[in-house]
Amino acid sequence: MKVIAQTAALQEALALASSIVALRTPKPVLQCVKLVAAGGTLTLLATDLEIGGRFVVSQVEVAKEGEALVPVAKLADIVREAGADTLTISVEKESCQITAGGARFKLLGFDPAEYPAIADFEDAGDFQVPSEAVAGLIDKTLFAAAKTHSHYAICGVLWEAAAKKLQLVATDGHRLAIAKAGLTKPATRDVSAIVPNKLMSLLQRATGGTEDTLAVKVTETQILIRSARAVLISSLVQGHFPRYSDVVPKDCVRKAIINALDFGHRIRQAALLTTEESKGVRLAFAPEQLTLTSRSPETGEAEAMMPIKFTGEPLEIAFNPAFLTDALKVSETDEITMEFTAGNNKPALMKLGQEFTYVVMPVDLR
Amino acid sequence: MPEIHLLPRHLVNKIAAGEVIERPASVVKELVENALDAGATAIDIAIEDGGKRLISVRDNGKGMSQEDLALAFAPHATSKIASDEDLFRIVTMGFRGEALASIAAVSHAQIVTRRRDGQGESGFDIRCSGDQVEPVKPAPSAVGTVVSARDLFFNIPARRKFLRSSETEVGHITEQLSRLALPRCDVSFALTNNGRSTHRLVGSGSLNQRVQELFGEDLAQGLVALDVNERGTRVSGLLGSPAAGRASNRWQYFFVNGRYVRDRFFSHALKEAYRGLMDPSRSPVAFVFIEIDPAEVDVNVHPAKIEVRFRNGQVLHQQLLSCMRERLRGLKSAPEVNLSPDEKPLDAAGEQRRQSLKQALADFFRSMPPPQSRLRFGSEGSAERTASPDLSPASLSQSHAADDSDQPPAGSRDEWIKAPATNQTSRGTELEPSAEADEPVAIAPPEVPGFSPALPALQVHDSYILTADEEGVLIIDQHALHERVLFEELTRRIAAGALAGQRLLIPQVVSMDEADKTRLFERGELLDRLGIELTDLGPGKLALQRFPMLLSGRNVAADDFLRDLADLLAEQEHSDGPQLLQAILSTIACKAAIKAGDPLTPEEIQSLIRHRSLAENASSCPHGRPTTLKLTLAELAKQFKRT
Repeated sequence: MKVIAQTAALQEALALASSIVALRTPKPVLQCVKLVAAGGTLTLLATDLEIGGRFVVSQVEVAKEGEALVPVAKLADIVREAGADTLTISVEKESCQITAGGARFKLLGFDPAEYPAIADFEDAGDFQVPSEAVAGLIDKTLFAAAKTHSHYAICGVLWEAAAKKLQLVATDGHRLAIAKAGLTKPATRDVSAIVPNKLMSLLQRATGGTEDTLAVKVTETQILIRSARAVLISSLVQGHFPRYSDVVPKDCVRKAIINALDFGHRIRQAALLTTEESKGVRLAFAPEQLTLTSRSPETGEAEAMMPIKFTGEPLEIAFNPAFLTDALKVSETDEITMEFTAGNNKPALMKLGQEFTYVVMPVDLR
Repeated sequence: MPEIHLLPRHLVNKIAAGEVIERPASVVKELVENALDAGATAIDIAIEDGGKRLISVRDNGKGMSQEDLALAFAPHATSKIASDEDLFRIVTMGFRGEALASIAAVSHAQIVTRRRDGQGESGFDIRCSGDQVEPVKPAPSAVGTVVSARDLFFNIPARRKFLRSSETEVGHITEQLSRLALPRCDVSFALTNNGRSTHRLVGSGSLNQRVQELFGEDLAQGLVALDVNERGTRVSGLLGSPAAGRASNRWQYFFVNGRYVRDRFFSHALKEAYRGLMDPSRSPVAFVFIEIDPAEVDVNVHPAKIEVRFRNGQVLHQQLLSCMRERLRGLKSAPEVNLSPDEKPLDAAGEQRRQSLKQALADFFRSMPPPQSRLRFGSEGSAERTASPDLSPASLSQSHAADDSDQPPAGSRDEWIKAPATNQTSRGTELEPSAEADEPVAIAPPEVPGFSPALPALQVHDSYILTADEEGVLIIDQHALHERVLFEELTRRIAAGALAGQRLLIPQVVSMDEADKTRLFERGELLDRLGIELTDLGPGKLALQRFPMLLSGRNVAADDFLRDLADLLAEQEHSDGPQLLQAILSTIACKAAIKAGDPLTPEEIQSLIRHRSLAENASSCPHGRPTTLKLTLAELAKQFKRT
């Protein structure tokens, strides 16, 4: 195998590949990236056995087709320090020679056949979606996904595709985020899958800022996502996602229309005087005004006011400020609504745009 | 009239009953043991009002004849032993002949029985209340025996008053059931409380299944089997993995020849077997069965037979210890400290969790008020103040994020090394505890004269912080110190009201045995103050609706916490009020505190050190372990032979 590659493009692909590869693994082969030079491109293959990725570098000249398996950390170091616009990788048996500018490195690798196979797919998948839309959906949901394991399979984001809609849902048991986006054309079949957080953040980085269309294919146990430059594969989170539609409040009798920017600012102000034990901020809704207060027994008190439009009986309710600002940060619109059912121990329903719904549980402060 | 006279029989029985029948659970124990001795394979226990109104035990054993039944309520009447020799070779559960007489002496008792071998027609019935025994009457019944005791202690009002709430008594009965059912996995048991079935144990013969039925799946998972037969003594059972230690020793069951016993030598052997494998503050889970020649053990030392005596106690202790240790040695040794338990190091979610922890910690320290103004450091010389402006506690608390230096300027190092000489006079004040203990310490921190703001601090092994004060070198256990700081904040907070609880959108289902559930629900008011709300989901399950914000913000696993809380309630059953609350708050503080193995930023380290001087009792964590070790300069000088 022999290729001449553009350093910057290779470096970018290597950064993605090394974020997949497990650093601490007893098998040295699993600390490697597999290089495949074929058909005028160089493909980098990486896996930690749970998720995998194929990253295509097209800014290359393939002089001789072939494969190599080399430690990814070392290769990334070498490429970063290359100091030249292009570099040449040539492979003889299991040793990989890299020349860049005035430097030459010989990196000892392994037999490429020892690397686990990473699936690929050629067809159009179950549905296609613009990468920009997916990035938006990830922003609006991933923060709400559970970080620790629980009874339910909520350590991931639920993807549901049907007709011309893709919907992502995430919850950590305290709040729930639902975001929707349109598909380029109707999905060929209905899809429902729980995608691990790790793949979600990788997807965000691998496709962010591009104007690709992603093809998505879901099998019993895996999800495969293809963009122009990469294919990402992950095993799905197995188990039951809670019936999220049950927790979205239905009969709301109070409704507030609030400016998102101002709201976020007021919450941050009130949160300044919360304690570690209780980060709760009290919200008092009245017809024209929202008053936010907090109290820290040792430090003092904070009070912040802002105009709102509010209909229904006045209400006092407390929330974890971070839960509110998390959603406000990714709000689609300037005006958001917040709706409540009876009582201050029931979930609040927030609509932060046409396609973004957020449900959050209050805090009991006394 | 002579002053000394023989006591009437009913009084003798009442006195004897006081020893054997302490509470409803003792009745259950005696009756179930009788049923087991009668060869039953299925035993149904029904109780009402915590056993105060009714306890009924139905078995399918061999039954009793009319003649035997007539003697059933007579004291010291038994079929189980006949001679002196038998007393030293006891193979049945009961033998003293006291149980039924005692039960009948303090309740309205009734026995309905029919023999399994077909003799004695269709069955008989006998009743007895207090000292009134009625004659045996024919009564058609199913094969086996039903013994019921109604209105326990109806004739001893003082004793009845001492009974606790029905929930507590049910808890004791459930515990008693565990003790009886564990050694007899071949027998089916059922417990019905107020008509509601709470336990249904299948007589499958599998100990693991029984443990699971009694204590839940979580506890039954990962148990390792033990079975050693040596010198005529067989030790078998299940041992919990060293990583799955519990907060209480309630999950340690020892049985000698099928009889539950409490023995401090056994407990000691168990603790020794796990020593070095487990955090000393945790207790292992163990179900250990010892089968020994009946002649080697004297069970006739305690009316409830809960304590026994061994002819060769030391030898047995050694044998038990060595076989448990041997078994445990084969397992993977001590639990590893894992930086991010669920995720791989590079994982974004794991990183996020770590960041959120750090952020929470930073927020916490930022939320504390600025300590004393810097004026009082004026005496230390202006050189230092200008040399390290960003490292003073005052500026740290306001904008410690701006501080990215963890090395103090060389000048300040000289300052604090010289400090003892110049600050001799102030040392006394520093050692004195803060007199104003009631004052919120955070607002007016005790004066710490000579505490240099620019102390170098270093975290080692992500667990300890090395620093210095004017007297020498300090080694701080980061977890213990943070735990103390949190504990004091929680104490202040709960004195002012209740802890804030985050409500759950999707209630978390927690599996838990009935006794623990009962304990938790009994303390509803206390849980409410702690910010916890639970709802019952039927046998063995409950749903968590609200959880303390401090814990939910730190991703503390709610099921583990609730189990520890139930253990704590079980252990501290008799301590009410402040003592119990303190124990619970220290558990919360422990769960929420940074752990050994959590890397800290220089700002976090400095803040933690600063809080050491603010805490009322910084020298030990709430559990009493020290937070800080000090090597004085004098000691260092001595060690380095500089004197």
